[in-house]
This record gives sequence, C-alpha cells and structure tokens, in this order.
Amino acid sequence: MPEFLHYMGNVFVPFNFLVLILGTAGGLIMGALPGLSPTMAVALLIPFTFHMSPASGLILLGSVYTATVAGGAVSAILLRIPGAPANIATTFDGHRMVQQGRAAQALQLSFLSSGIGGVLGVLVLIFFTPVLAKWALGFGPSHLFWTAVLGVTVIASLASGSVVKGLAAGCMGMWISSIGYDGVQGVHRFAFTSHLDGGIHIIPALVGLFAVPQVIDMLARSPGGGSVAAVLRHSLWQALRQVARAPRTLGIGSVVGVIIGLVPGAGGQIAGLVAYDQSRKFSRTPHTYGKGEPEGLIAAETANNAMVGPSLVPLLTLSIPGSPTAAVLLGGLLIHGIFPGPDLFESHPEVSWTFIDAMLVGQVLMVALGLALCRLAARVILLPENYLAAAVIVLAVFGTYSVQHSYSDVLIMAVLGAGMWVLEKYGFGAGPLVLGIVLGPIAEENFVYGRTIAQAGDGVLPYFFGGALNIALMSLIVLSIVGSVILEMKARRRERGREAAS
Amino acid sequence: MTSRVVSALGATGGDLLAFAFALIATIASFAGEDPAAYAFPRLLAVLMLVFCSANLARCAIARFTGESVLTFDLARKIAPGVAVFAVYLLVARELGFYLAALLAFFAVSFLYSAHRHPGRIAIVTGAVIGVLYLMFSVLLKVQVPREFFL
Amino acid sequence: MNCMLILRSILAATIAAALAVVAPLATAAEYPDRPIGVTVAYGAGGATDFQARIVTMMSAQEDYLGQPIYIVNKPGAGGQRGWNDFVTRAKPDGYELAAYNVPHFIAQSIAFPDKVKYNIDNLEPIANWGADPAVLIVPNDSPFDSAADLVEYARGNPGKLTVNGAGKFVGHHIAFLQFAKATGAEMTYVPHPKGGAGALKDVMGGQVKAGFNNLSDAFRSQANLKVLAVADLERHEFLPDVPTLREQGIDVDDSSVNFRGIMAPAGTPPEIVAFLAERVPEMFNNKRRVAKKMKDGGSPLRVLGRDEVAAMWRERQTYLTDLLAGLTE
Repeated sequence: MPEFLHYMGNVFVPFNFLVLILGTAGGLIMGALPGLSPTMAVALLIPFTFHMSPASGLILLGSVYTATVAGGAVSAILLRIPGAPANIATTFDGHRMVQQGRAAQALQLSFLSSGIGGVLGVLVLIFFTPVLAKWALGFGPSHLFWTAVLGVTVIASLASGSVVKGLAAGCMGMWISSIGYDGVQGVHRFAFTSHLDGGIHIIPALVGLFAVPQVIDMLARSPGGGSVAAVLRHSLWQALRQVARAPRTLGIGSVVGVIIGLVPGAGGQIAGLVAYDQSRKFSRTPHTYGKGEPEGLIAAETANNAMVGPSLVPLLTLSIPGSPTAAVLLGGLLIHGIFPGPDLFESHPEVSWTFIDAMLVGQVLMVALGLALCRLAARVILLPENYLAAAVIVLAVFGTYSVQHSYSDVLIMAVLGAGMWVLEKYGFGAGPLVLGIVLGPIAEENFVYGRTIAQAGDGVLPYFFGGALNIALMSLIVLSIVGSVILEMKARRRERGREAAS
Repeated sequence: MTSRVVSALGATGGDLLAFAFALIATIASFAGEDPAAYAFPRLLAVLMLVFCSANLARCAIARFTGESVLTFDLARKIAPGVAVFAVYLLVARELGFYLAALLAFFAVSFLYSAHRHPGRIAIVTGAVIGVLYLMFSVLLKVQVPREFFL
Repeated sequence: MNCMLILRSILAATIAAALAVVAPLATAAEYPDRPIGVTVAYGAGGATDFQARIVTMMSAQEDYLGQPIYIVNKPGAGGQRGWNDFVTRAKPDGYELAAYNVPHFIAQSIAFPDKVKYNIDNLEPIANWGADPAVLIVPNDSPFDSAADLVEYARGNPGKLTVNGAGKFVGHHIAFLQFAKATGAEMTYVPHPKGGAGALKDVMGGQVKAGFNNLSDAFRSQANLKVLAVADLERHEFLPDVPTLREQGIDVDDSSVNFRGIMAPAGTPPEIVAFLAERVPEMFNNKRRVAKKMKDGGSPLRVLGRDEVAAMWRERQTYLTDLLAGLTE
C-alpha cells in the first residue's frame, strides 16, 4: 500500500476533519474577497496553529492555501477582480461568461477544473518529488530572468486591445516596479514623495488596478442598469460533461501548471496565463478566446491549481521555499519542529503525509463546497450595484492596509486605480501592468545577480544566451509575440471582411 | 475645428495619457544620477516610449475616428461617488477606519440607490461594517486605525 | 431572497452593535493598554520573521507584557527599507518596536551614511533573543572539502571563486570580507536579491561555487550541502563536527554572528524602556513554550539583557568601522 494511503485515516479524525472543513470554507471566502491574498491568509492564520498539534496545524495551513487559490477565481469571474495575481487569466473568459448570463456555469467549470488540476498537482508531489527537486535546483538566475520576460510578453499579447498597447502596459508595470528602494544597488529610486519610499507592493497594485476601475464603472451604471441581466441555471451534469470533453485543455493546463509550479522564484503567478495562451494557440477556434470561451477558463484554473502541489516540492525536499506562500508555510512547519528536507518523509512520516493527504482531501472538499455555493455566490452579481461598489471600495481599503499596515499603500492603490480606469477605456489592460509589477523585480534582480556570477565566469553573453533552457525560453518569448501578432492580424481581417459583407 | 479637436481628444485620451506617463518616466529615469542603478528603469522607459509612440501613430493613421469614450455625461454620473471615495481616503485615518467606512458606505449606497430609502440602506451599512469588524479585527486580528470605538 | 437578506442584515447589525458596546472604554491606563507592533525588516517566513513570531507569542500573559504583540513585515533592501521606515515614522510611545539584526543594521549605517537614516544612537536596545553564526557552505558534489581547498583555488584563479550570501552588508557579507582579508585571496561576493533562502538554493544547485549562510538554515539542509566551517570563536552545539575558520588557520572572529533582538526608537520614555527591558528577556526565556519552539525550529536562542546588548552594539560599531574602512573602496 502506498504510504500516503496509510496515513489517510488521520485526515478523517473528527477534530482534524473539522479543521479541514473550516480551513477550506474560510479559505474559499478569504480567497474570494479582493485584497486578501493566499500568502496573507496563511500568514494571518499561523498564530492559530501554535496551540494545535502539528498535524492539525498543518491541515489548517494546507487547506487554507489550496482553498484561497481556488477562491481567488470567484471574484475574478464574478467581479473581474482577481483575488491574487495568479487569477488574472481567469478574468478573460470567466467574466465575459458572467456578462452573458452564464455565471453559474463559469463558477461550476472553474471549481471542477480547479479540483482536477489541484488533485493532479498533489499526485505529482506525492510520486515524483525527489526527481523534480533536482530539476528545480537547475533553475539559475538567467532562466528566471527569461521566465519573467516570458510572463510579461504573454500577458501583453493577451489582455489588451492590441499587442502594442499590451507591451506598453507591460513596460509601464515593470517601470513602476522599479520605484522605491533598489535592493541590489542600495539606491532610492524615484522618491518624489515619502509615500513612495516603500515602493509599490503587489497587493495594493493588484487591488487598485482591477477593483477601482470596476467600482467606477458600477457607479456609471447605477442606479438601475447592472452589467448582468440574469444568472441562467446550469446543471452540474452539463458542466461535468463539458469538462470531460476538454481533455486537451485539461492536459495543457495541468502540464503547464506543474512545470511552472516547480520553478522556484517565478511562483505560480504566470501558470494560468501561460496555460491560457497555449490553449488558445492549440485551439481550433482561437478567436472565441476572450469572448466567453469555457475552455479558456478551464485552462487557466486547471493550471492555477495544478501549480499548488509542485510549488511545495522545493520546500518539502530542500527546505527552500519557492514562493512567498511556501515561505510562510515553512515558518508554520518549523514552529512545529518539522524540518523539511530530504529525510522529511522518514523522520516525520505521520505529519508530512497527513499534510499532503489533507491537501488531497482538501481539493475534493473544496470542489464540493464550491459547487454547493455556486448558485448562491453567482447571485452576488445581482445585488444592487450601489452596495457592491461601496462594499468593494471599503474592502479594498481594509485589505490593502492590512498587508503591511501602511496608509501609503492605500493611497497608491487609489491613485493607480483611478489612472487605470482611464487607460482601460482605451484598450490598455490592467493584467500586463500587474504582471509587470510582479515580474519586473524578478527580471531586474536576476539579471544583476546573474551578471555578477557571469563576470566571474565565462562572461555575460554565453551565460544569458547559451544553454538549452535559455534558448528554449527565448524561443517561447519570440513565438508568443509573433503568434499573437498573427492572431491579431487575422482577427482584423475577419472583422474587415464582415464589415465589407454587411 | 474645435469640435474635431474635442472628438479626437475623446477618442485618444487614454493613449495620450499613456504617452505622457512614458515621457515623464523617461525624463525621471534619465534625471537619476547613478547610471548603474537607473539602467533598468531607463531601458523600460525608452521601450515604453517606443510602444506608446507606435500606438499613437496607429491612432493617427486611423484619423482619430474612434468613438469618444470619455464624455461629460459619464463624468457627471461618476463625480459624486468618486468625490465621496476621495474624501473617505483623506479622512479614514483621522476618523478611524470603521467610522469612515460606515459613512462612505452609507453615502455612496444612498447617492446611487434607486429607491433612496435611508432606513434600508442604514441596515445594510451596519451589517456590512459589522462583518468587516468580525473579519478583520476579531478573526484576523489586524490592527487598523480606530477612534471613538470604531 | 429579500426577506432573507434583511433578516441576515439585522442579525449582523445586532452583532456589530453588541460588539461596539462590549468594546472596552478608552481610558488612560498603565502601559501597555493595547497591542504592541514589532516591525520586522525581512519578509514573512524568513528566519528573522519566524523567530520573532515565536519569541513574542507569549507576550499577552500578565507576567510578561499583558498585551499581544503583532508582527509587521516591511522587507526590502536587506532590511534598509524597514529600519529607515521605523526610525523616521515610528512614534516613541512604546507601542511601536522593531526587530534588529546585528551586524546588518550597524554595517549599513556605516557603509551608507547618506542613504540610511538609522544608527546605534537613534535606536534603543531592549533585549536580544538569538545568535546565528555564518557558516561556509559548498554544494554536495563540490570538489572542495575544506576552507583551505577554497583558498587554494581562489589563489590560483583570482576572482573566479563566487561566494554568495543574503545581501550587501549583512552578516554573510561581513564574514566574506573577513575571510577574503584573512586569506588575501581575490574572490567575488554575489549578494542574492531574495535573501538567505534563495542564496542557499543557489549553492545547492551549483549556481555559485560557495556561500556564507545562516547556521540554522544550513543545519536543516545538511543532506544537500557540505558545511566547511563556522565563522565563530567556538564550534556550535548544532554542528559539533564542523571546525571554526580559526581552527583551519584563517583568522576570522565572531563579528559576523547574526544577533537578533528587539529595539525601540530613541526618545521612548525611560520608564517604558525600563519596563520592557525587565519583562522582554523574561518572555524570551519562557522555557515551556518559547525555548522549546526555538529549539524545535533549529534556531539557537541566546537571551541578552538591555545593558549587554548596548555594549555589544558599541563594540560592533567600533570593529565594523575599522573593517569596512579597510575593505570598501
């Protein structure tokens, strides 16, 4: 009997199972609220685990982590406000489906594909951890640099009216990320006011760039004209069949999610995006993407959750957290005297396997709870928009403030949001800006860090441009830009053809 | 003539804003003294300027015929709400987060409500702020600025 | 639907009202009458953050502070951002404290006098909770088996030996500077942009040839690393088989040992500082929970009182001024 099944019983001990249910439900809610990111949810809950047994504490952290990632899709779909940067790709088709009255269907598909991706990701964690850990270690600064650039080019080609606008917005985001302290050089850049001293933190930027424009649009429509006329019923059976008929999309989503989850440092922020982009390129009907294509939503959410399990591989086997959330989980493990490392599964089999089993059961529970709440959650968008607008702003202020107890963050959030509202009206996407802010520092830091290493070795050019992995990543970047330009030109031609015909 | 300028501005306002941002960013990046520290922002600012110029050039080729997106009607519609939010942000720290949120929530819900029924809006306001309190102060133990109980 | 909404709203409003009434009246009580914030200049989950959370977890007990402590993370620029923010903005009322890392903040205040706004004169030490020496590490499959091997390679290939650490002017960098000075060999220091954990990963993955890192973190990763030496005066109880650099004939003392503790902004009323200086070390010494959790987490505990910390700060200040004057530029 595989070892993970041996400890499965621990998860179903009444107290542990209660913790698992509460963690999953709470995680779904926190993930769904704009401004509360998975990292923060886990960090805020660590003190609760002080007084629990190690296994129960880890069940709480594991279930909250998995559920917040999936919950982030709810506000991404319903309000077009992603709960975390990872959910940006979910907004593209998810929110269009809501506008078409298909909110219930979008949520069902999102939870089902989240669950499938999540379970696959945890299975990879269970069966392939040692092999993958070695692979993850091979990722050096030059590869991380190219991965960050890839993330920005992919989103630039997806989330805007045109590729040029997308690239402009991506560069804008990366430029904004350079405001504040430069850790490598120890220089204070662009300190026009003391509010910018701390730089632009990612959560305020995410909340401002996505939530504020939505709120202003709600005001413009109130009272009366909501964005959504109705929520059509959609049976679970149909949703299941729809997911089952998309094996290619599920495959792309899981593979991309697993691979990107393993890359330490780049984090899961871009897994959904890359999967969405690939799924569109392999699709027979790429022009339906962005207009309410269920497969776009499925690809993004499968990848987002498939990344959760593998993102813990470097943490559990090498004791190296690959993402901010993993770093917080490491703290939670250490507090219970559990040292992650190669002998983790031998020295603490009970605790570590219970943790992994809880993530597995948590995924299933998350799907069940999510599906049960779908109909109710979908009704959120039928609430009068005056209440929604006011509630989102108030939540944005509280959520932003609680990230690092900084009022400057709240002001930055508001200013970025107001500017974004204007830009969005003219076809610039908020997605490229947010991704630029997330990935800008990764690109810069790894470039400078890699350059120092390269100068002591073979020189900068071979270090960044040589080697199979570098070349593969650079090819992907070129392909993503060229491919998107071709798709854009095709779409224009089709439009012109339609105009000429009519 | 003037009307053409206005409609061209209405059709490209955001593109111009992005270009202006790129220009300011470029100037600021090259004004920084330490070339090593500013290399990355300089590169990005120049790229941003190139992309924004290309974008403007495309608007020019299309003869600014896009639809005017920002209109006076729209501005009049959103002005009261945006004003409430701005005041909310300015006074939130002095009034305490909960009291300021209470007032802002009530004001916006009332101004943009179809029925303008103060009693009903007050109940919803109280409920929402109560949930916020439970969530942030009781459950997550976040310390937000507070005055007079709230 | 509508009925339900109104019912639920009434329920929630009642709860809110009840809470407002129960909330304690604001009175001018004895210090502390509300929770105390501790700024950590490093990210959540890092060694400093994690230890700060453990050593402050018992503060709500009446024997200690009687109020809970909450942690605020302000990471960036090797700690500069959080500490700059702390000295410029924290009110000296005893409700805003910070965690310090020595030698980091002292070295930064000497190396960047115009960028860094903090120094040992505008900060008040309260108490120290831990000491974490730097260790010299190489990848598992590295050809180097001792510090001497590394030095020999560096002498034969000037500048080619890459050694990473958590950032500039942190303990790891000081250890590197001392190591380079003592051996006279030319080698390259590579500060990792994301701190100690990232630097450790890059040593394991062979991205760099060697590294200085925290003993506590390297201790957990022994299976993927070779620990060649400890930059301290004596061997460490966690790694009794690893020799000190001095034992290997390289004259490096304990100046790079990373001391962590709690401090207040200068100007905090003396009675509050005295209260904290009395209670905080007792809290750190809590045997049943704090000491146990620290030990379980592989984090060496070393509690020092206010006077000892003040003396340690002054001593480091003098030493680091000399070291950095001789080594930078």
